[in-house]
Amino acid sequence: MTGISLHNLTKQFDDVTAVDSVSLDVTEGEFLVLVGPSGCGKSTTLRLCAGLESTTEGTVSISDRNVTAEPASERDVAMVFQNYALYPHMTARENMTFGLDAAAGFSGTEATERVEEAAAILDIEDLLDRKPSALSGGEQQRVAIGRALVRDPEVFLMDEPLSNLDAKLRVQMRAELAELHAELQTTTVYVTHDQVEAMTLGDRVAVMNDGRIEQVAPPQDLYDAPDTRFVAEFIGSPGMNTVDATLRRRGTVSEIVWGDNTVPLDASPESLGLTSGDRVVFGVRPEDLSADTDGDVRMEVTVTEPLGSTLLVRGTVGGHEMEVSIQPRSLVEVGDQITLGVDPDRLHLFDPESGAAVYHSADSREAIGVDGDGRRDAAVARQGGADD
Amino acid sequence: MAAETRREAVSEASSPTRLVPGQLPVHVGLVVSILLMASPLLLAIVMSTQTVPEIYDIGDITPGSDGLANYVSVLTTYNMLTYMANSLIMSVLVTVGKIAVSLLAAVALVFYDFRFKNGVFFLILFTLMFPVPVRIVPLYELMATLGWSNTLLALTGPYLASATAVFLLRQHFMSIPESLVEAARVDGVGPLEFLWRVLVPMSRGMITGLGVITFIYSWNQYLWPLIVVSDQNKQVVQVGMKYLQSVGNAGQTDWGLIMAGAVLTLLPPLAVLIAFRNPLLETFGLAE
Repeated sequence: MTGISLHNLTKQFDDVTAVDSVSLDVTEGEFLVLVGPSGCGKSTTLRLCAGLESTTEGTVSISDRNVTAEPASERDVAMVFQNYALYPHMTARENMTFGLDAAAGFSGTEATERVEEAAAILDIEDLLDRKPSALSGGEQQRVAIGRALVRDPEVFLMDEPLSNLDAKLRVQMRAELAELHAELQTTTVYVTHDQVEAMTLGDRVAVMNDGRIEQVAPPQDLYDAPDTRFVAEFIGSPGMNTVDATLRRRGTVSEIVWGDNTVPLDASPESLGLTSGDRVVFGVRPEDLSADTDGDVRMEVTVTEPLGSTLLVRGTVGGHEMEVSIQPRSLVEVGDQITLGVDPDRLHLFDPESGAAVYHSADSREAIGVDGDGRRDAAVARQGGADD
Repeated sequence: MAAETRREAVSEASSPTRLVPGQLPVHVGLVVSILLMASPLLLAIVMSTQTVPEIYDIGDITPGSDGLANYVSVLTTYNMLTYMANSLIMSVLVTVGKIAVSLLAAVALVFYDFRFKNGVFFLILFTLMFPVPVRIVPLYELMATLGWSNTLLALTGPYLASATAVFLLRQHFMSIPESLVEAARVDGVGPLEFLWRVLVPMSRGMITGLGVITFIYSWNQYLWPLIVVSDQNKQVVQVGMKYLQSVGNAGQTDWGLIMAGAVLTLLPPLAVLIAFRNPLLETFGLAE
């Protein structure tokens, strides 16, 4: 049974296509995150699910029931808004029960019980008689979530619910949301622009760009095997490095060349459906590059960003901006030339025109574990030595 | 920070005043200007207690020997109580009706989508540009055709539509976050319930402020009631004041009587103003 199903969903505002034939199935009990840059259509998609926007084309089904033409109130969904949308003149309790009678015909005592229950889950029992102005941002958001809980809907729709919270509270609420979902198992569609939120919360993550879904996959798959260059660059913090390069034959295998840099690839051009000399987009994540004195990739350092657990180094490699995440406390300064090693298990090729993924080296070397590469460990060891 | 400084300034101002010698001219200036502004009212109160000869003695501005006699005769002999009651009924009806109509209009203008919405809004705003006297003749014709002349309907009906009120409420509603409306939509809260249980409570200050202004405005109406109401016992208080002018002996207007009437007429709006001063200040963004 599907929780919510979108089929060829399209929304046009005048001549702007905000959502462009999106099809998506969210299974019952799933936590699906819609993520993308601002203006990608993710919020509009959510609002189409809620019935707050009318569809231009396509259908929305909730629990296998076509609700495309039904008003928001008939869809059995509850929505949590970025700015909480609490009524300022009502107490938390009144906010949670307002509209409840209208929605499902609850009796007074039933509503009270549900509020108590939701308040207990969210740990806001003491706040029920306060007005929103007497609540902190985090507490207001809890009340807003409580309002959704009380309705016991088929689907939760959440529109960037944590975006107005400060960084620390956001991480805390994120964990609580994950716990809440584990407990309630209510189908949830969650919109965010924050890819960390998307990765940590989603059973699956749908990456949107320009009104279209680029890829829907579990978070780790999204990270390991992005379907498109856009997904590769969007997911990860920082995102994947991508450079325009040329694929060249080397014996039975091939190599990727840009500027003076070459990276060997454990596959023949033919096996990739390419020929020697074809232009490709080479992708490698900052954390899959490492400082390696024997490396073939030379970087001129332009910025160093110590993050504590790692040192993020930005620089130019063969005329392209790249980022690499290396051991913290490495002795790297702006202007330095460093050589980098590349994890051969974690290479990606994309089509330069369409941006579609052509090759993920992890797929062809599945037998080897993620960190099973000796060279990387060696580099780490050397780095540790340099610190002393 | 700014609020703190302001609070300090306020507490300073409200602490017992010490007379700093250098500030003496300032205080004198303030007292004089206040007296100047209050003088018509003070004179009216004084004159309302004087007899006719005392009033015509220009130099005499002490409380007169008539005491409250003028008030009594205004209320009893000259029907002021009836006029005040008529005015009160008219003002309350106009206030309630105008706010109800304007609320509905503003809700439609802000929360509903319909063709030519902006056009409709500007059409409403355009009515602000016509001064009331311009509308009086066609309005009178309309009332006559409807057979409403000399009735409460004629007295209140034309006041119910108000561009100012619609405009103020519209601007206020537009400041309400869209998501509140959407939350209500998802919850299946109907438009009237939303208006009554969300918009009205959220706009309480604005509505009360509008109510005060409308009440005073209606209470002070003179020209339209004078034209459209012909029965003296249906007349409103401002026109009733005019009747007082014709009282008096040998061409001498009884100013004491008129001033007593004026003071009485002043009381209800004053009471309303005092009772609702806080929301009124809030409406105009002057509240602390």
